[in-house]
Amino acid sequence: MSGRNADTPEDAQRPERSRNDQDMSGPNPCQAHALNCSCEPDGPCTCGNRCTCQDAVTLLLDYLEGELPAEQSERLQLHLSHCPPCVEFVEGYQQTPKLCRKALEAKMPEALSRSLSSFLREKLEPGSS
Amino acid sequence: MSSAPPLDDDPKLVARAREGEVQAFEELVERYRDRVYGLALRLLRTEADAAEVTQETFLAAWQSLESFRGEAAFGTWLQRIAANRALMMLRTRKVRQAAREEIEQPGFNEHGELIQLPASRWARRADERVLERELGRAIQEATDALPEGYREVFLLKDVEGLSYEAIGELTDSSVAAVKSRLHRARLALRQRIDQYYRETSS
Repeated sequence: MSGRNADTPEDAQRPERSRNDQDMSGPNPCQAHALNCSCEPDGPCTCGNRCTCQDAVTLLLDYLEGELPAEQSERLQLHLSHCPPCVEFVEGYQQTPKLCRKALEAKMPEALSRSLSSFLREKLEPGSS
Repeated sequence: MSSAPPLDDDPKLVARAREGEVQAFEELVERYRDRVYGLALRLLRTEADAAEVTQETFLAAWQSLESFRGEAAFGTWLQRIAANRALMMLRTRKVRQAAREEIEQPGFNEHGELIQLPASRWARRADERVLERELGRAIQEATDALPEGYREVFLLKDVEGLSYEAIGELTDSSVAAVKSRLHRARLALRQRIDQYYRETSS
């Protein structure tokens, strides 16, 4: 999620939203290990696999629910600490259900409520089937 | 149904209804009518189908009150009945589903970076604001367009608040499959909301 691929003029004018002014050309700019890398966890990542935004997005649900293994979770957290756009992505992901609940609220219309009441009254009265 | 907590005196009303007191049951209907109807409408999309499922749900609840042991809240029990009925009806209404086969997901470049940065910081203001009508419509359309299987899981989990296990049972899927579909549905909907803010802020 870097600002490197600014695909609109608007994006290009938002330098604060790109990854922390880091050199994106070298290996692993966020210094975190790729989630599938086999390098020593405490040492630098030398395998060339980056801890990518794609990794973060893929594992987001398990991460937010605390279901990731501790090591993966730490790597992801490290990635987030270096990647503001990913943080923004996560916030949007977390707000999505709330916005959808608001958008999909529904009340039973009066007329249907009345039909429900008379339907049930008829069915619930003692002696009815 | 996850939004409103169960009312304190539900158990009393349930107990009276179990004794055959119609009035007590009618009070429960009054309390849960909108939630049952809302669940059915979101899943089935038409008022007529939703009204039918609402009727069936309350009738089934009345007829099986004996089997309600009060381990779960009455609202939760009712919700399971409603979800089950709505899903059954949905299976018979498949023709009507206009959903796409594909689900929209965020795009990444060869470095695994998002091709498109998230739009202006909408998530930080989302809680405070009244939902814009246009955004509401966009969300409704995007939810309707989710592929079969994804829409149901998203609605049951994120809107109705059912557990993964309950959804797994209702949809005959594993918890892992439910979570995977939920995640993809959320990503698609986040994408749509993001697109809305991108368009309206430009």
